[in-house]
Amino acid sequence: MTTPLTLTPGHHPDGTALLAVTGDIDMSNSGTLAEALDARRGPLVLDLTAVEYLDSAGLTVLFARADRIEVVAPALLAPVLTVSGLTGIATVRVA
Amino acid sequence: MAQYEDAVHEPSAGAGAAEAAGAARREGRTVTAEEFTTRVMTRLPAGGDADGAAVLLPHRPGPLSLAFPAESSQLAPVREALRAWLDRCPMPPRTRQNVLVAVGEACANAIEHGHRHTRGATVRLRAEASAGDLLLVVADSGAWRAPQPEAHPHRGRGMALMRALMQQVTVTPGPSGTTVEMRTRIAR
Repeated sequence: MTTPLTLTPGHHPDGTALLAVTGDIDMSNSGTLAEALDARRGPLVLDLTAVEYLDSAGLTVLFARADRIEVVAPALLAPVLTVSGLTGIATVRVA
Repeated sequence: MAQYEDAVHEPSAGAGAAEAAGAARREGRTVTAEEFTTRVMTRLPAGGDADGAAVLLPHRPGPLSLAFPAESSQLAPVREALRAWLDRCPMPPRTRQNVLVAVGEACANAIEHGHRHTRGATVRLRAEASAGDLLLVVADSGAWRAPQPEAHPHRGRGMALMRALMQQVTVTPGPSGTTVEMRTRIAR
C-alpha cells in the first residue's frame, strides 16, 4: 500500500504540459510520480500547490528531471526545495 | 492543576473557565486541558496583564510514542499521528513542517534498514515537548550504514535535510539497532 497521491495531467495556458499533484509525496509513492513525469516528454510545469509533504525520495525524482521541469510550490515546501539545492538547478516558483 | 486555579482569578478567564465547565457538564463529561486553555485564551483581553499571560504558557501535550512495522506504507499513518500531536503543541507552521520532514526522513531511513536486515522489524518513534524544545527519537533494529550516494541517492539527501532542518541530529549506531535523536526549538 502506498500513500494516496492524485496526479492530474493537463496543459498550462501557454500550451506547456502540466502535471498537478495532490497529496503527500514520500518513499512509498515517489515511483508513481516519476512514471507520471516520464510519460510526458519535453518541458513540463509540475504544480505542487496542493502537496503538503515532500521528502528526499520525492526530491530525487525532481532532481533527475530538473532540466525540463518548472516547479510551482506552496510556501510550506520552500524550505526543503531550497535546502536540498533544487532551487539552484531547476526553475522553482513559490506560489 | 494549580495553573488552572490561578487562571480563574482573571475575571474574563474565569468566564472562559465557567463556559468550558458548563459545556462539559451539559455533555456529562470532564473538561479536557486543551478545551480549558482554548476557552480561557479566547476570553482573555488582548494584551492582558503579565500575570494573566504567565498562567497561560502554551500547553504542551504528553509524549507521543509509536511502534510500527518497517514498511513504507506506514509512513503516511505515522505522519498523520505526528501531525495530530504537533497540532496540540503551538509552534510556527514552518517549524512544524521541518519536524514532519526530519522525522519522516529518519523513519524512511529506519524502514530501509529494517527491510535489509529482518522481515517484520519494528521502528519506534518518540516525540517529547518541553517548554521551548522538541525531542524526536527514531530507533530501528538494523545496523547503521553510512549513506551510499550511488546506491541510494535520496538517503544522503535525507540525512542532509535532517541536519539542515533540525538544530541537533545525533546518530547512535548500536549492535541491535540505530537511534537517531533530533532536537529543535519550538518557542516563538
